[in-house]
Amino acid sequence: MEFELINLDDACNLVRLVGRMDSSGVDGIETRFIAAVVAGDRNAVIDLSGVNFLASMGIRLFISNARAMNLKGRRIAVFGATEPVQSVLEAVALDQIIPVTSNQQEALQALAG
Amino acid sequence: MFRAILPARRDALDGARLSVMGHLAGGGLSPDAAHRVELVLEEVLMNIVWHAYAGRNDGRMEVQAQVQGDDVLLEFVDDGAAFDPTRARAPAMPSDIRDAQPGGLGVLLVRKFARSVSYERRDARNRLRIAIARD
Repeated sequence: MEFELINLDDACNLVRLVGRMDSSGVDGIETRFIAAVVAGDRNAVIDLSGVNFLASMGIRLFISNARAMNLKGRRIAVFGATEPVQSVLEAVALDQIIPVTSNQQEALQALAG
Repeated sequence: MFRAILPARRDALDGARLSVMGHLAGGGLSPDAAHRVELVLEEVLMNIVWHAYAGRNDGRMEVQAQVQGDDVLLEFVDDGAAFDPTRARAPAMPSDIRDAQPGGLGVLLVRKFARSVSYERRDARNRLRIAIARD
């Protein structure tokens, strides 16, 4: 899988993820993802519309990054999940700890609130 | 029926998934069912690699798959350390990110997406049988 990081402004990055977030996919991006997103010292909204499969390894990546960013006073939100990906997010109740929204604007509002 | 014996390594998971899904392609699975099967395959095989053979790289794992009636039946066999996912404690997601633990989610997902899960430890082997609705 691949990801792209775009600086939206001084406070927030947009991260576009594309591909399968299974063990193989996460292995391929984890180090670069952490370096880019956590070390970026900005909030991040993560676009999942290009993710066609999400397994527990992907959820682990979100949780571990959200924890690391929380220590720096930063937050992440995810948005745009396809139906199968949304079913996994709901099964683990990720929205209890990270904002999960349908689009980018709602994700930005969730982090601003 | 599909049956394969694989090295218990993470780099074997992609091949296992493609082989199982290729075998099931003509089985009349709905897109939702195919997603559930892929998810359960990923989580169970990862658990075998991590828990049954933790610290070893010579383990083997057997996967069987077939469509039977309204279900896809998956069976997983390994001779690693005993691990019963039906008894493993699945984490509840806390309300605060500071309390969140990233582990244990695979077991939770298997329970949520399978119709039934049964485990047996016999002859020093783990045997996990999982039924997933085909519709």
